Amino acid sequence: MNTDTVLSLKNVSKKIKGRPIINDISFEVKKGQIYGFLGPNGAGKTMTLRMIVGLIRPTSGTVEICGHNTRKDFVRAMSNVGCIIENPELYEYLSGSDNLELLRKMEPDISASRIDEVVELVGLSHRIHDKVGTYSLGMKQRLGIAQALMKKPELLILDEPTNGLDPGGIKEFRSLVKSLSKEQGMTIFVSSHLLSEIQMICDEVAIILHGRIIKTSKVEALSAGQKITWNVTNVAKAIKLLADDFGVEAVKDTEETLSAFTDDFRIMEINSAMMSSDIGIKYVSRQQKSLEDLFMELTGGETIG
Amino acid sequence: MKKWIWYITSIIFILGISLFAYGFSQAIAIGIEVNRAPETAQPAQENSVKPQEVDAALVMGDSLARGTGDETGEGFAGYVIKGLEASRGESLPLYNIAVEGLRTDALLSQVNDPQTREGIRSSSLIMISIGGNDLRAIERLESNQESQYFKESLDSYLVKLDEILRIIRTENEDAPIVFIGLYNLDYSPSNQERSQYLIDWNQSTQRILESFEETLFTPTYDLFKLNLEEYISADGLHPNSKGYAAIGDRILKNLGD
Amino acid sequence: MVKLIENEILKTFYKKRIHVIAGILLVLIALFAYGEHYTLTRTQDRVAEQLGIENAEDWKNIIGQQLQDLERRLDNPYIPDEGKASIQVRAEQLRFYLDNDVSPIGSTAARFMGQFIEQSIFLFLPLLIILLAGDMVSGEVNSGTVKLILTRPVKRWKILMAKLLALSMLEMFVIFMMALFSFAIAMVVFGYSGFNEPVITGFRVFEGQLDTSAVRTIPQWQYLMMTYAIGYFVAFVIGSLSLMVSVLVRSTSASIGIMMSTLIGGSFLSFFISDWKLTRYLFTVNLNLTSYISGSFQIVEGLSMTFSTLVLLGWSFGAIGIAFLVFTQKDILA
Repeated sequence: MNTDTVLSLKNVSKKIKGRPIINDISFEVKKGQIYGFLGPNGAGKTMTLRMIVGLIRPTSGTVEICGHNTRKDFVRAMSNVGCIIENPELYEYLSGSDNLELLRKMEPDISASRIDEVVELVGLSHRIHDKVGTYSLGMKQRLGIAQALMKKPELLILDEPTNGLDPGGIKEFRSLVKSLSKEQGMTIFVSSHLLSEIQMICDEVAIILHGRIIKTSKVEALSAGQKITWNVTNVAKAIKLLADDFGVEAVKDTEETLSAFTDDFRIMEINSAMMSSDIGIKYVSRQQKSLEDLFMELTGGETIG
Repeated sequence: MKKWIWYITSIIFILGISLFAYGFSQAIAIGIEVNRAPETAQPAQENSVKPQEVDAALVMGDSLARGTGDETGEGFAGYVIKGLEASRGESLPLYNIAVEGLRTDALLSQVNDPQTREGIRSSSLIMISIGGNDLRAIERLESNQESQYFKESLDSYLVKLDEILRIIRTENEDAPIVFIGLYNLDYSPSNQERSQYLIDWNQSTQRILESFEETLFTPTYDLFKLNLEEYISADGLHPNSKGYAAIGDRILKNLGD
Repeated sequence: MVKLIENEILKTFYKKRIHVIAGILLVLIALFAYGEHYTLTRTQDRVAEQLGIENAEDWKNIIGQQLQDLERRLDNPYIPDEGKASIQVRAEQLRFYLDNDVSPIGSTAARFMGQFIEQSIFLFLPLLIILLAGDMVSGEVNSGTVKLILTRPVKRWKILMAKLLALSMLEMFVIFMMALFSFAIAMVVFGYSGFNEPVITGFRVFEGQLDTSAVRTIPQWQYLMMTYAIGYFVAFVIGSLSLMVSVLVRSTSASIGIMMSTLIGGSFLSFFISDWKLTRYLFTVNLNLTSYISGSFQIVEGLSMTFSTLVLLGWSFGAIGIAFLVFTQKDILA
């Protein structure tokens, strides 16, 4: 067992009423990483997360956290974990600090002062004694993070954490995550359906679709290759040129445009080649790869959902 | 605040549990008792007080048999016993199973009881006073209903009286049965109708008694007629000591002692 | 574990659940006491009529005469021992009334407390407990807070155990409130505490008939301890059942609704108890345990304090077992 694997899933599957919802998922998260879990809504992200933290039992396969099997050694496994699953629901009739106090009592080794620390960290000190029922969504999110961070966990699991936050909040969140990772060496596991989110925060990512992992890779590798659109005088000729001379598969978008995925440095080559072949170029534009594009690429045209 | 809630709840719980343990075990104990059948369904013949093998007298019936109103508490039965003991020179135990307010139907049930039968069996003298309470409801009636009521009560009473005597004779063939008649509380002419009823009642009773052997009807109607002031006690209902003595006297005379 | 229990109790208090129960108790007890007080004069008149006396205040004479009569009856050797017990016991009661100048009509605090719990034990008390326990688990699943507690490094069974133990403590609190409120209100309304008054108990059923041969008296305070102890037992049983339903059912209103309708519907089935053997194993018909010691029970063959207690225990343990089994395996999907 690799000692710096903080989270590992091996052949995890889940069947509900005979139907497979999650199918044979495996991946590993190493210490210190900020690991993303990407997929469209309904792909199985939340289901997987729930299996990781023990809310749902896998039909087969194992989940290990810091080397402890979550089924056989739940307590030791979960003592390394802080998490927020979907919306951070807390006891509305208790105050923020009462909530944290209640949770603190459930675990050993969290000092009382830690609570104050963590409340300050998330910026809730001024409202911490009010009933959670009076909090805004953003405040509840913050309190959610606070409860996850209370025990200084090895592994922080966040489920769609920026859901419902305003741009300012999202920015704050991003810097918090980065600092937790850099300054405290926390391993962070984030799930999201937004590629841009993952791209901005994570180092590595696992992509899930229809309950299966279709790819795990470093985040940069994903961003490599953007979609380039040419508006030219002869679409068919251009497509042929790209295929024959550059080995790039291009697609006709409209009567006047075609597009292909390719890297920055080749564009200039392609452009001059086209011009040499008497293909007039009106304009060239570049698009960030969208999730749909990514999936198209990875699944070879399979539709989403 | 929070700590208080926890402390108070814990204290109440600890106290409560100890009280609970005590209370519940008690309740179960009673419950188990309740469940166990009584040790014997039969009356414990070995243990109960048995009338002695020697002669004993038995008096049953209503408050008259009990001796209510007698300052000395003897009643006519006590008086009779005293007299008998004096003349025989030996003691005679008296067992009084009379109940105040008893009616004839209740006396019948009582006589039917195995325990009572046992007592009847071992008695050498049986005295009965019953019937007065059967007519109590007459006070509440309209005058035109009285006649009907009286007739019904009398018929019902006679049937039961017959049964009572029959049971007594089944258990005990020899002991003389002394029966006390009813007296009036108002012998005035305005109360004629009721007086007639009573006389009817007494006569019918006497007739039934005659159909059994060794029975003695002891009238009281005439005893009290002219002596209400002297013989009736403060409650205006029962005889006083003198009145009971008069009855007892008559019984003794009838028994020939 | 202690901390977990502490948490659960705090949650219930902050939810104001206890406050609501306290409020209901206060209102109901006050109404009950007022009602008794109100009918007191009417009762007195009725009793006076029955005993044939002018004035209900004349009870002393009547009691005196009754007592004398009973005492003389006891001298009768022909009364079987079985019969003696009920006479003795009645005589004791009458003697008490005379010695302490207490009228047998009307109420005292102790009598009221006993009456109240006897009346509420089979329906009202269970309803209060259902209110208390019905959403112990389903409420948290509904509001999503269950995610919070199940993702702590604590085994699931411990969490449920904490809830169960907290419930036991809270049930004791409710019983305590009931005792306290009925005592306090009764003292205000009736004035006399009457804890030493003898109460008759020990009724038996033999061959289908009420057998009074083993009756004896116990002081009111002892009787009250027994009835309230029984009350706690019933509360515990209903609490366990509610906890189980709360684990099995997602919606809180369904959870409370199921318990309430089972309770009320089940009591209808007690009509069939003599004929349809199966009904006597339902928990609802066995709730009226206090009736066995107060002597006001329906005489049915085979039904007794031990039987009912065992049936209730069976239901209780079964419910707890099922609750634990399901809770530890359950997938929290939402």
